Formats: sequence, C-alpha cells, structure tokens
Amino acid sequence: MKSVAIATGVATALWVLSPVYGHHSASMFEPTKTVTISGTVKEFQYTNPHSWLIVDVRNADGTVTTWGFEAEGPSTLMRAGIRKSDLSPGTKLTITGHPMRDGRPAATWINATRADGKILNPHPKEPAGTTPKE
Amino acid sequence: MSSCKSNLRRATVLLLASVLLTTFAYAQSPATQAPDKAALAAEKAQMEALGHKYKTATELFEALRAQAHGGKALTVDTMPNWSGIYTRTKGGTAFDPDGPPQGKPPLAKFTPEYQAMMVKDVTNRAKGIEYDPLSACHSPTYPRWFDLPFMREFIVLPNQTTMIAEAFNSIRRIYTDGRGHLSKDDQFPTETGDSIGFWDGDRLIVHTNSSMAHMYERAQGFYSDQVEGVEIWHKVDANTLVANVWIYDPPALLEPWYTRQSYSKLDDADKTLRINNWSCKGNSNNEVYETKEGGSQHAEFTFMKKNGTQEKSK
Repeated sequence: MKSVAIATGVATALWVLSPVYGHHSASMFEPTKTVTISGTVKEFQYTNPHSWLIVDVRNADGTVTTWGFEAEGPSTLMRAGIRKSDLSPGTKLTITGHPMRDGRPAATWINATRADGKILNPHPKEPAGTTPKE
Repeated sequence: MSSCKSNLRRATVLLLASVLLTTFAYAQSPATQAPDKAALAAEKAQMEALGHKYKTATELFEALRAQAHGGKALTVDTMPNWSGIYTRTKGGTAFDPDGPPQGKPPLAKFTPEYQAMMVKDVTNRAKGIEYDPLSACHSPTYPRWFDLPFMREFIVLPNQTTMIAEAFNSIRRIYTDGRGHLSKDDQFPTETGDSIGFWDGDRLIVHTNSSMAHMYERAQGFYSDQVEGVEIWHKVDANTLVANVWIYDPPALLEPWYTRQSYSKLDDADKTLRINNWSCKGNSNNEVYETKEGGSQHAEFTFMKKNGTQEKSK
C-alpha cells in the first residue's frame, strides 16, 4: 500500500499554522499543497535552528523512501509539548506537511499523529492577542 | 521668538507623551486586561508626533533625558522585576506588530531608493522568490532584533540591562551607568549596536547606534548602517513588557518609524522552558543557499543519497 498522499488547494487553513521561519524563507516549500505520509521514525534531529523528523516510508513496490519533515528548534517544540522521546526511532505515525517545490522527499511539518493516537502539532499556543503567523 | 515657540511645542508634546504613558500604564489593571484599540491608536498618534518633533534619535533621546532630569540610577531595591521567559506578543515577525501582516508593504515612509527595494521584495515574495541572509547565519542586527521569533530574557541590574533573544544568540547590553556612546571618530558597527540608557522611574529609555545594515524582516524593507533607535521600555502589567520604539535612518527613512513592540511572559509552571545556545550551523540539513533567481533552496539533505535521488532499499 502506498503511504503517500498529496493534496492541492485545500491547504489554506493549514498554511496559517505553518512555522514562523526565523532562519530562512519558506519559499522552497509549496504553500498550497500538502503531503501526508505514514511511516516509521528513523531519527529525530532535535536541533537549532530547525529540527528534522526523518521518517521511512514503505512504498507499494517494497522499497523505502526516506522523508524529512522540518520544524522549528527545540524551544518551540518544547513549548508545543513535543519532546525528543515522543518520537524515538521505530515510532509509527502519520504526518502531514507542505512539500518542497522541487519534488525532493521533504516538507514542513504541520501535524502528526502517532499510532497510539497522540497528536503532535509543532506550533505552540501563542500569548493572547497573537495574530496568525506568516 | 520662533525658537521659543518651537521649544514650547516640544515641551507640550513631551508632557502629553509623559501623561499618556502614565495613564496607559495605570489603565492596564487588572494584569491580564488587554489595552483597547482606541487607547492604542491614541498612543500611536502621540508617539509618532513625538518622533516627528526631532530630527535625530540623539535629539529625541536627549529631550527625554532632560524631561527626566537626567534619570535616576537604579539600586538593588528599586530594580523592576522583568524576570521570566518572554516571546513576542503579536505580529508574527512583521516589524510593526500593529501594521500590515508580513507579505504586504509596511507603513514606514521609506526614501525612494529603499521604497523600491522594499516593493521589489514584496513583489518577489508573492511569486515565491525570497532569500534571507539569516539563512547563512548572518546576524539579524539591530533593529531587526525586535521582531525575532522564539524566546527572550531581560536581565535588569543597576548599571546594565541585558536583553537576550534566543534566535542567533542576539544579546544587547544597555549601559545605564551614565556612560555615553563612543565619540563619532571611534564608533564602529556591531551586530546589535551600541546602547546606552537611563531609568525614569520604572521606565528604561535607550539610545542605540553603530549597527549594521540589514532588512527589518523578509519583505519588510531595509535599513542602512546609519540606523539609530530610541526606545522606552516599560512593564505594563505582570506579564507584558512594552517598548515604544522610534527608528531614525536618513538614507532609508523619510521620517522616524514608530512601532509599539510587545513581549509576553510565557507560562513556565512546570519549569520546562529553557533557552539553549543557538547553534545555527549545527545540523547540515538546515543549510540554505540563494538561488540564481534570488530565491531560497535547501542544500543536499543527509537523509538522501548524494546524487539527489531518494534513498530506496528493499
């Protein structure tokens, strides 16, 4: 079963939830498309300025594609309640992001749901009065 | 005679600003009550008028210092409590939290040259073409420091206030021990500029110069290496620090750009928040370069084969 789904034009609501990119522009990602994959965590690079969740996805032909999902750094993830141990290697999950424009298997991390149902949204609640991010 | 009138006008504006700031501070009780839009609009108009009265940041700073009779040094007993971890209250990363959102032209009155630069950036952003020197770990410099995302700390001591932004380990030191700036001939640009200040009650008034040219934020316009700022910092309630900020920059701005910057204390009841060293080059998957078209692109990822193909295995 192929575990990758691409959606186009339904991402408006999700776009406003995209990270504040403090380090680089998000222009290499496609803001009007989303990609959703199901796979297994290979590595969680819990780093500044961005964290990367590396996920292995088994394709229909039996091969494995390794995807990378970019989020903000540790302090933002901690505020969102996502700790490194939440996504240890071997964790199964479904994750959605804005894919790269150039077709490489990487995306911004919008939301993820572990196999046990825990939702991991890397965008923390902002203080009262916060306007939507870019 | 005209000089007398001019001085009278300046004194009136300063008095109004002082009354407004005091009134505004008391209007914040209870602690969590947000200021209403009308009060904010009135404050903004007064603050803009105050900035327009002075041709340079130095003139505004010295007028505020004269109004405060030179200011009063803090002691350990009179230091305000600005402890905690804060983040920007609103505005995303737009320089003016009360202005148009990022992606639309800001309200600053740029000179024609800098206006054209800003418009080009905004236009390109709409086409998906955008590059930020921060991608190469360039310092954000001052005054972009105000709109950095993520967490902040403010450390008040009698002779110095230290303002730390987590992003890019951007640290400002505001000297409040009575020193001035270096003489004009001895000044040199630094990443967060040179800041001096004084205390007027529980308000910190700051003057910053000697910064480096950069952008206010992506698609928010640019400033030159002649940029200077005057700031009035005040803790308006238990959880909110506000800075009234006037940016002067003759090569880039036709008039000072006033903004009201605000930072909210984060809940850390479970003591999990912490500011770590910002290791900008610690993960090569974060390497971003500028394309020929002026856009941004991720370099090769470590989780892919070096020839750019996906890693596939049975």
